[in-house]
Amino acid sequence: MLPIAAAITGGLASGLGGLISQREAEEDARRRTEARMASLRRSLARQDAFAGEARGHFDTRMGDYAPGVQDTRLADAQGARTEAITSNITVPTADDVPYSRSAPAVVRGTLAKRMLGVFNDATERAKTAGALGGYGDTWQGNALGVADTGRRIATVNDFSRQEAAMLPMEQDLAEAGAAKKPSLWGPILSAGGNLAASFAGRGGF
Amino acid sequence: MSWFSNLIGGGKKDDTAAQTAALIKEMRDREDTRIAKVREGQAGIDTAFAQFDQPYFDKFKQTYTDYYNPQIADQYARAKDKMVATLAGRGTLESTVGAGKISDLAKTRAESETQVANQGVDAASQMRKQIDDTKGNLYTLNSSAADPAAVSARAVGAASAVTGPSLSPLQNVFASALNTFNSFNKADSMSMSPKMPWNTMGGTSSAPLSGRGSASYGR
Repeated sequence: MLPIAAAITGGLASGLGGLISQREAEEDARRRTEARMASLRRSLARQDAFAGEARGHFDTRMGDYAPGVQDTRLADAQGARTEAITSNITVPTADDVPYSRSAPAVVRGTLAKRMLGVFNDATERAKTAGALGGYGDTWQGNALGVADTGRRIATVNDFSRQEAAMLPMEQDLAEAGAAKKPSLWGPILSAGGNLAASFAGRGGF
Repeated sequence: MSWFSNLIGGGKKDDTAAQTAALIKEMRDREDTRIAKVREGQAGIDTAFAQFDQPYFDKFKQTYTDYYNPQIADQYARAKDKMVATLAGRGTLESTVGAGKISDLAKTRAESETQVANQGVDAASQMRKQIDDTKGNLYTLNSSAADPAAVSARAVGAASAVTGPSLSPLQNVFASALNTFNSFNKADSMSMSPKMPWNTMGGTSSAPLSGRGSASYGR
């Protein structure tokens, strides 16, 4: 009966040792995976913050193109350019011409009328030039705004890229830190069980 | 007790866990520091370039027109005096034809002033773009360097080194308006029976080219 009992006990011990080793290996793998996932989750949270910041810059700039905003900006730009031009036009006067006292009134009147016409025409041309130039001014303002947003998003993207570059390294380090040595119980029980079974098979100790 | 730990298992491999945690923290701290420096440098650039606001460009625009307006005024005064003298010499100053010629000069002046003002706005826009490009370059440098003190110093230097477009003297904008009179005067002076007084006095004479309508005779 003894060899049979020894064989059964040895087999159970060997099986238990294998089970312990397997469970410890599984536990180690789980810890390593969890460590890598924790790093990934931290990194994703930071990436979310960067993405939110970049999106904020983008949304702010897109606000420039909300209904009515561009119309207002165009009107402002056209008004500013028109004002800049009209304010630079000298008002011509008939007094500039040294007429004699006997100069005919019709000539004086003609000159005054023509000078007024010159000023009115110049003012109208200034408005037209201001209206035309206002488009360019508006779009230059838009371009500068987009460029500014692009720079700010590029800076955030640089942070994001660096974060992504650090992730594999951080995961490797976290995994290495989470690893634990397996106990000797599994191998000892397996070896002892195999030994007992082997002896039992030979007919006794 | 390490033999016991080995026996029962669960012991961490040496002090790897502590070392790796420290390494991760150092890596994180370095990146956080870099990010803080980049943001600080960026704020420094924004501060240095805040001086280039709308009043700054308005002032530049005014400086531009202030440079050209006196030249237009001077050329207008000379051209008008010359035309007045010519018209007076022909006896047409106090006529509707003369009034038309004078108003043509005023029109040319208004067009020149319009053009100068327009160019002033364009020059201000060009300068705004140039300043923005410089700011963009500094942003790039800032991200690369991540040294806020150096970047701020460079930003202040770059901001003070911004130069405006070069200004060139105004061409004679009234030349075309006076061409007719110049041609007439030349033909008149070579005529056998000149009409203009300064062409009828004999000897070398000249039409008044500048000043207040005076002419020189017989020199």
